[in-house]
Amino acid sequence: MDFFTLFVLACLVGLLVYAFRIDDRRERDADKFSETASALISRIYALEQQLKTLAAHPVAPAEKPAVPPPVPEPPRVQQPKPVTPPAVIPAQPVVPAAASGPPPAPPKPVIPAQAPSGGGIPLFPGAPPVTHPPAVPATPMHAAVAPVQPSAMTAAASAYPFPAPSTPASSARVQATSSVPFEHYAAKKTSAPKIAKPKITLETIGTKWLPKVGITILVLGVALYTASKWEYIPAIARILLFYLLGAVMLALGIFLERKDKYKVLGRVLIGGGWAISFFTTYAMRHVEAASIIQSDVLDLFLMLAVAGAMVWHTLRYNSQLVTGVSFLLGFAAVSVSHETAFSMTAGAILALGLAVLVVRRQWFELEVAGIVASYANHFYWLYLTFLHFGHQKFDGYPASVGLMVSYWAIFRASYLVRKVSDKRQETVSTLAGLLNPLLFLAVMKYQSFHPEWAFWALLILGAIEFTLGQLPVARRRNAPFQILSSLGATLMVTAVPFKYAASHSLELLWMAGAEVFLLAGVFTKERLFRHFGGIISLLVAAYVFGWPPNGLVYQAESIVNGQPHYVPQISIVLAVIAGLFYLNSHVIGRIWQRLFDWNLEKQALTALSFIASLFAVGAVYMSAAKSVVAVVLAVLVPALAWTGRRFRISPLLYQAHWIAVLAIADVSITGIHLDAFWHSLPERAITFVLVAGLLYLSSNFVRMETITARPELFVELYRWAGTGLIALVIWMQIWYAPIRRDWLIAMLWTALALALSAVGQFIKRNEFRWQAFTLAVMSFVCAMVVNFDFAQQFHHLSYRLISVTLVAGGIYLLTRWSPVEQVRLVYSWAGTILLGYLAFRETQAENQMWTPVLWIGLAAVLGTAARFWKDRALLWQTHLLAAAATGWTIYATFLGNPDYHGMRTQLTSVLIIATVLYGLTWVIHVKQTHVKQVVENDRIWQAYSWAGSLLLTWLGWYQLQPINVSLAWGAFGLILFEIGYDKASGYLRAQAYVALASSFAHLFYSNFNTPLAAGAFDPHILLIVLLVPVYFWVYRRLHEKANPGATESRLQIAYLLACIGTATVAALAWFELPLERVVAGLAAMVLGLLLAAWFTRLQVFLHQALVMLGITVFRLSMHNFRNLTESFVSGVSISVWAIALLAAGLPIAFQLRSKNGKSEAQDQEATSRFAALVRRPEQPLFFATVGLTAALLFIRTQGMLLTLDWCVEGVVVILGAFFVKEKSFIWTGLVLLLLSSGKIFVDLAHVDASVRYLAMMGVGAIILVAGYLFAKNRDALREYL
Amino acid sequence: MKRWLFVAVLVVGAAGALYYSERHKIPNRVGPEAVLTAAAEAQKDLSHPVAQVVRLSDAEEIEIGHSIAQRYIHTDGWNESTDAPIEEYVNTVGSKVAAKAHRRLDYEFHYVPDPDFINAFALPGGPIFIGKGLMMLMDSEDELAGVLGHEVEHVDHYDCNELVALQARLRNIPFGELIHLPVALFQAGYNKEQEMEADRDGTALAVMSGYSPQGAVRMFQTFARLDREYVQKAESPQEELSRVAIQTIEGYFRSHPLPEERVHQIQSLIASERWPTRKEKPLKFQLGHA
Repeated sequence: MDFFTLFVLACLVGLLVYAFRIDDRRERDADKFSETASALISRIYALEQQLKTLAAHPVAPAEKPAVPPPVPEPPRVQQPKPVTPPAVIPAQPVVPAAASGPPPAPPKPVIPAQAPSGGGIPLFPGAPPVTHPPAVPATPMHAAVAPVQPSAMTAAASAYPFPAPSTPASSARVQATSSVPFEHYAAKKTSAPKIAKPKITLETIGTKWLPKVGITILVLGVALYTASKWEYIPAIARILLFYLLGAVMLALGIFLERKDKYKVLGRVLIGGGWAISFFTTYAMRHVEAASIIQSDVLDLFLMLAVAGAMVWHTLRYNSQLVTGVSFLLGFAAVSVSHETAFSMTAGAILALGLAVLVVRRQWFELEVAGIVASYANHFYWLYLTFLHFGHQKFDGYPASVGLMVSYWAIFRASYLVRKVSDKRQETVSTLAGLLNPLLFLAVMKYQSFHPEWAFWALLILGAIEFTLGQLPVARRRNAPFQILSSLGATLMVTAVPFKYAASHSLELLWMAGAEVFLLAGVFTKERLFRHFGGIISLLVAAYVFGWPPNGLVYQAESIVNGQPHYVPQISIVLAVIAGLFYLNSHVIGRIWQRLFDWNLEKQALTALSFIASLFAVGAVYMSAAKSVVAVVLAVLVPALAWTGRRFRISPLLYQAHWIAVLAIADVSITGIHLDAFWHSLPERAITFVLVAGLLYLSSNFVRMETITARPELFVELYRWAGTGLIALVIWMQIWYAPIRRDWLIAMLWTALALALSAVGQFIKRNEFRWQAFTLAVMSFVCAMVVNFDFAQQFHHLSYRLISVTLVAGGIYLLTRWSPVEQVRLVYSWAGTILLGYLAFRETQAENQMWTPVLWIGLAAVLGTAARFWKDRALLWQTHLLAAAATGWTIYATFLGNPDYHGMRTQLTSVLIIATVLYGLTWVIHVKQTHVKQVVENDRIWQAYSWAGSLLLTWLGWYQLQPINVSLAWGAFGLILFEIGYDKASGYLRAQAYVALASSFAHLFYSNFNTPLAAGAFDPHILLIVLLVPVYFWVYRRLHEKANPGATESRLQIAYLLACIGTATVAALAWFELPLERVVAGLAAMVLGLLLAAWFTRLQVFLHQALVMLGITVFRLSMHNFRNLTESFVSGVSISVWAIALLAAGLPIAFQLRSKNGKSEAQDQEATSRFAALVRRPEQPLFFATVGLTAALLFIRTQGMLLTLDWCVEGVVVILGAFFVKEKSFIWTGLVLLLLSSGKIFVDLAHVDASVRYLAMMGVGAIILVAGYLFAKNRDALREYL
Repeated sequence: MKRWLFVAVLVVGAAGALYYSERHKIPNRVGPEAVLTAAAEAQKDLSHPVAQVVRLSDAEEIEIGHSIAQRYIHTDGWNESTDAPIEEYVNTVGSKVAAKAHRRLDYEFHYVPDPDFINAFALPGGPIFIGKGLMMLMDSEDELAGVLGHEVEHVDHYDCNELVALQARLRNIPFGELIHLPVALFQAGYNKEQEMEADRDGTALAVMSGYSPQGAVRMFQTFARLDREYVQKAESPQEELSRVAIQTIEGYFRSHPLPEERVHQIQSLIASERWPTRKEKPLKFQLGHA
């Protein structure tokens, strides 16, 4: 398949899809119309019925009607009257037809007397009767609001003897609407009937899309098959076969098209049948595998014949789809005959015919396809011609041009003479009207060999189009006038560059054209012409702005790059355009103000004004010397500002603003290089002062109350700019001076700030104080960045010290003239920061460790001053300095330099800082200051104490060996606690708790890592053990205290400390005892804790005993027992000892149970399992002991011996249980006995006969003993069990 | 008053203890070892029942271990003719020690003739390697027996087996790919609990095979000396803390116990088990001290 075939197929498919969409839309429109009409009619009818009902029965009794049985379709609805709106819908709910069967009592259909058959409102000819609810005079209205079953409606619709034009869905909608009560309508009467947007439903897909998709695929399939080499069927047979197929499809389509339900399918089949027939005809000559004729002319005639037949036939259906396909296939036929010019003439004839058809039938969409097809046809013919003969002048060139002109003329005439009915048709026509010249020009360009004719061609075509646009036939409709005029103007404007692109005449010619259009629009009062003028003006602006290489952008680039930019010619052009733009915007626009009433026009004139300012600035840059550009721009600023204010033209003010910004930027940039002198005066200073002065002058004209909410805003901004320039020139003069005196900058700025503050104070203008503030900030930053590096001496004082002190002093002085209160604080902060940083820099070189000492000293001074003057800012500065001193101490003394580790200077400095911090806790104590609002949070002062404690503890970490740190912290915590306890100071106690917790944590970090040293006395156990009484002492003190702090109570500090104490002992056992013996230590702790709980009556020890019991069980079972099976060096004795220790605790646990029993009522609410364990501590202890014993027996013995052991253990447990009268114990013993009884049957298989029998006898005896015991204690058993 | 007296006694007692301790510099080590050891023990105790379930079978373990061993031997290209007598000697001592192990596996003992390799390691299923660098630190065959017993116990306690099973499950490695596990995985050692266990039972194996437990003691004392020589102490708390952080992150699964602890454990065992003090046999091949 060659390119041409693909091209044809692609065109066909594309156009088919387009045609399908058009067809669909028309159908949807018809459906919408039908639905809308039906809904409106039914609403009107329902309203009429309601009114009649109300009139007949003004007070209807509210009887509830009996629910009627399902009603079949009433026979009366089958009357063949065309439209009977008041016909047949019963008042009862309609049920599905599926619920068939003889209804018990089918009600008679109610026929309103007022609505005789045929007397309703006709919907449209041939329409079936629309079903409506009957009048229900004796029925309440709400009874009619019954669910309408769609299937019932479908069944009802299908019962009509003639095809219904509306779909079942629409019928259902009509019925549903009609059954809505009157109140509902009343509520909705203001809203228009809502037509649902068509949705893609299953029905849509099935009935509409599937046939279309199918036929498209079929056609394509035939085409592809035809092109294939199927050697079993000869070409002639294939051609016949496809003709037969096409004929069958046509016949079938014609047949089906007559039936309404299959209309779509039928039309699709017709289109497809014709398409296959046409394609088969085409294939007879042009498809190799099916080629049976050799004459292109014959084939062309055949194809034209088929196409003609198609058009003739399809017009009968009045379907744009079918006829469009026919025409398109005709165009395709013409394209196929790409040998002679004859075929091209046929194309023109087709185009003419199409145009006539389009105008008569208003199938404007078809014309779009026709335009595309015509020009594409011609283009393809040209393409093939150039392909064969090269891109050169050819014989048929004049004929080709003529044919193209004829195409353009045919479609242009069609566009002008047509009548359109609605907006959509006009839109499609506009598309066609634009496509025609565009495609014409494109194809003409393709075949053109004379580029020099382009100017004239465009100019002439533009003139013709513009002229056509002014004809009465075009003005009849607004769109052609606008389209053709615009098109003509565009073409004429486009033509100019083809001849005048190389000179500046282009801009001026365009500008002249723009002015002509604008004036024409003004004098003829034709808005469109004025728009052309405006558009061309903007085009000129865009061209002058961005067209390389002379565009303003490129000039600006060269200016920015410092290249010479003196270009008088462009400067003149810019000036002329700027003048014209200003003239158009502010003279013409003001004189004929009424003409420019459209908002867009006003905005365009404003835009012209701004563009004019841009060009004016460009003209200045290209005509003035570099050094004076800023001054000239600054001169423009007051001029524009004055004009704008005088004539109340706000755009001019805005232009003054941006030009002012530009002038400032220019002087700031170029000022760097202005090193020359003018009459001994520095040129830079003169320029800056002039610009600053002009800005100050302009500030008097920029106040416009109507423009901004703050009229003074721009006044202040201009004054700010003037001051900024003076500050800048100070910096530049010093910075670019041959001798470096940079430290002067901050001082001069500070001086300027003081002067401005004084001026502001004198003339009562606050902005000068703000400017002073800004300068102070700048001098502060400058001092921080620049002055601190000047360590040179001046009379034994460094420039740094002198300048920073002066700047800080000046800033402190400025606090007297601060514009607002907050700024005063900023001044104060700035001065302090400068002094603090100065202290840092002055001490940094000597010894960093003393820097925080100085800071904390400064903090002490500031804190005292704050207390004396009750100054909030100073107080916060104290906080900051203290925090910095603390942080710097940590960094410099501990983290920054490891050489300080253990040094005496470290000890000294940190002790001093910590002492001052503790002292500051008192100095700034909120209760001592007696000043309200001084401190936001009354806990800030506590932070000093925390910081002091932090430094001391950290010092301990450095100064002591790691193994000693825990005890030191513990002792420190004890001291803090006691002081805090006496002074009732919660924060000191909190520090103590942190220290104690840290000491405990540090044990794991250092002490428990240290193995016992052999030989000499090793104090490391002592260092741990001494902590235990500390923890318990603090616990006891807190426990004794009647009212501990709220936080302490909430966090249960006392309880935690007791736990820490016990955990210390437990950890000591865990880490210091041999691995196997740890469990014995833990078991001993359980015993000890039980004793402690018994003696002290403190439940905390019982809790700890239970926790330790759990740990012991875990350790014993998971560690020791595992080692008993896997390790060579594990012994059973430790496990036995551990279990024995646990068992020894049982009596104590019983005692604790009895003690707890007294307070059982209090604990009754405690429902947690741990609480239950606390109430009955003997239970976990017993089960742990028995379970561990059984497990140990399992590990160490086996076979029959294990059975015996468990049996004995069970008996012992039962004996003990009877002794202590504990039900759960008896159960445990029983379980052990049963376990051993069951196990014996397992053992029988593994032991030899002799052992088996002996063991069985032993087990039997033991079980007998157990039986005896139970018999003896029968009564007790009844009681327990 | 009584309260302040008690507090004073406590404070004075603490001050006295601190003074004494400061005067007598006690060697100590800071770090997370204590916590890590406790955690490792707990983890070992908890995971033991689970590990028994997920272990590889003996056949699988042997197949994987021997495959890794063959790959390791062939890739390193040792001079077999020179080192064969030493390897035979190592194999003899190792086989003697392994004869008493719980698991009856085909233990193989290999000599790695690399003086920089101061290590020994075991692979699953029985292959055990010892480096020349480590043997250069030894004087007696009892030390060698202690080291080999330690490695045998890693196999005996399923440490290697569980390590492979863990890798297979964590990284979702199919069984066939397990033979490509890097040897470094086994060279890195195990957690403290496992190492201490191997120390105990490895020494017991050596003692049951007729060697002196002092060999193991002296070996660990050598390690302690090297540790003191090569491990630098932290100079500041932040250096300590950074080491703690690194050790905590990296050292949990691969943290060897302190040599002093290992020495202490073996000495305690000698006392509690009443192991006889035998005369140590000199090493057959004196390779010179490292």
